Amino acid sequence: MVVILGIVLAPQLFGDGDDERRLGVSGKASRPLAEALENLPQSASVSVETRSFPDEADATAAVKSDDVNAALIDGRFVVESEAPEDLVAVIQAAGQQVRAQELIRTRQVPQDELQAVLDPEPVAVRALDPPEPQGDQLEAIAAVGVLLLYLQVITYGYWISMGVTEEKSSRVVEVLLAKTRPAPLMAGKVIGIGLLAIGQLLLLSAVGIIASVVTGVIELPTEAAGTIAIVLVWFILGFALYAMLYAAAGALGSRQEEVQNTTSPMTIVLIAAFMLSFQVLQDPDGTLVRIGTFVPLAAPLVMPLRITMGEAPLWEIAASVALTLAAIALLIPVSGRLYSGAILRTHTQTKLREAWRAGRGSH
Amino acid sequence: MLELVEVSRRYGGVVALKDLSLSVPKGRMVGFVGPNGAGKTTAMRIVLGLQEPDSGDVRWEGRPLDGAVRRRIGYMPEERGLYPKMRVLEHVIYVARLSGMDADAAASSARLWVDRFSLQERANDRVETLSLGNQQRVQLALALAHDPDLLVLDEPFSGLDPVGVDLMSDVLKDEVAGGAAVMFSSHQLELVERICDDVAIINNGRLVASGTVDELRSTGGRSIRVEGSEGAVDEVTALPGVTVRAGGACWVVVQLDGSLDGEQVLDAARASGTVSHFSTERPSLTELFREAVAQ
Repeated sequence: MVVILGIVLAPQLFGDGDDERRLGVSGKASRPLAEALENLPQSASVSVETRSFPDEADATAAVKSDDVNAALIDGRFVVESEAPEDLVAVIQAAGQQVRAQELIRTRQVPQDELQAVLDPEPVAVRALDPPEPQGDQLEAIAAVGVLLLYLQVITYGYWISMGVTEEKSSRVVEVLLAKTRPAPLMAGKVIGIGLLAIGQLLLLSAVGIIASVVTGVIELPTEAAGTIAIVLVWFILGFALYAMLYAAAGALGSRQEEVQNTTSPMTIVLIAAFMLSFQVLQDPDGTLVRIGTFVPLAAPLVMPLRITMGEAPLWEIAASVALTLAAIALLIPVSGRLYSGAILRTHTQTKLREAWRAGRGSH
Repeated sequence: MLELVEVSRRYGGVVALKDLSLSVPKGRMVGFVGPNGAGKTTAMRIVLGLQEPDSGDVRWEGRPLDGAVRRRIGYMPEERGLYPKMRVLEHVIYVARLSGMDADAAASSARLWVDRFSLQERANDRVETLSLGNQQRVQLALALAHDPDLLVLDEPFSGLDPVGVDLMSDVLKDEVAGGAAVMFSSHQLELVERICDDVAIINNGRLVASGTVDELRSTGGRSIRVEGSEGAVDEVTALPGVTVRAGGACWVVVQLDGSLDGEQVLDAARASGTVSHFSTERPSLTELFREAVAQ
């Protein structure tokens, strides 16, 4: 939580706000350009603060010691190693302005006409398909949601596997199974750790959002509530799906060192699905992404973004949710059977097929 | 009464249990013995519902065992298992709660059993910090804390020091005196002989002998020990119908088949020499076990 607060608050405390460049100025030839730079219009991408130096040596020294970002010495532009592009751009613009003013002054154009030419009217823009005003922020919320789902499944899914394997390796599982059936034992682990994962997620999100809104880092549009709800629903679906697989994988291992082995297939699928969610940002209606919509292990990472970007037709959303729910319903007995079949084989890592056979009828 | 009725179980091509029937009445202690791999652990796991029999029934008080009854069985698995990070008292309470006790009853009962096993000073220590012998005491406390009517204990004495064995024996005797049905497996046959009311011997998944300890010992052929002159000992050794179990220059232990009795042996010995010692001995459980398993 401290980390979250730190991330939100750090730019507030240490950031330098807008981009400001310090430019050393030396020599008479640099004077008109420096004045033009001081009077750059507000819309310029950087603002420039000039500082005068009595001679070339002082100005050069200031550049070297990073007191200034660059210097104008007798009209020449001096930098330490590489010229900051934005600074070069404004200096060129200022140079044009100086030369134009010089030219106009020699031709004796009246001052008001001059000003009218130099201060152009803003460009009138008419968009054919204007972006939703808060679209970017909603996408950001969905993207963070997907990232959190990925992180929580990796962390807590692995935790579920380790917990199951620990009960096997310490042999305590036989005492437990004498008191209850494998299915409730597995469900207890998945639901318990799942609630912990969701609880932690909600707590951290709440702290992050409240801190961000209070400090004004982000403004939360009202549509955000809908996006958060979408993220949450998919989080629960995705976590349930993966958690059951991780529980069964945990049961296949007999020692904690084997957990890495038995969970790696899920971890690979999860990482692939996470990569696919980047693809959504690039091409929300691409073939791969649309396939991911209908693959239950990928959908929870793909759909929050697609829905938020407004790129998923309603029927695809409905089909995706239905397929994911169906997969969960299917996995409950399948994972339960694997878990039952493997949970008492405490000596060696159990093969998938053996666990499936041994689990017949005993969960 | 716990009853196993013609319980069979195979693992692939291996017969683990074949038509095993035995019963454990309330108020009796049944010793369950057999060589390694005979099927003792499989039978106990089937009673607990940890494995399914291919055929046959397990009944308690005449009814098939269901989850609610099984939860009440005091069970000690062959593979000891505890949560290493849990604290002793907390662990006993946890399993007592799983066995259906309410929180208060579980707490007071757990405290009682932790005291009984002299673990009171370790009550708030993590299980992993205890010696294996003490962990085993915790394990037995887990089996007993919910006051079960039926105890199924797989090798409860293995790994205990003599003091632990005595403590465990006393505890089990008390449970039986209180009306519980107790079934335990063991390789310590002298101990089984001493504390059990009934014994069931299994081999290769089949019951090969069962009954009270006295019954078993009297059904086995009696053995006779004769000490005396060389002539007497040689004569006894050469008698038809005897099997020599052990012997030296001037003593021999023989087992008789049905064709002759002790008096005939004594007469034959005295006819050929002098006899300084003559006794009949009932076979020990160890001898019965060897015989039963050898068949």
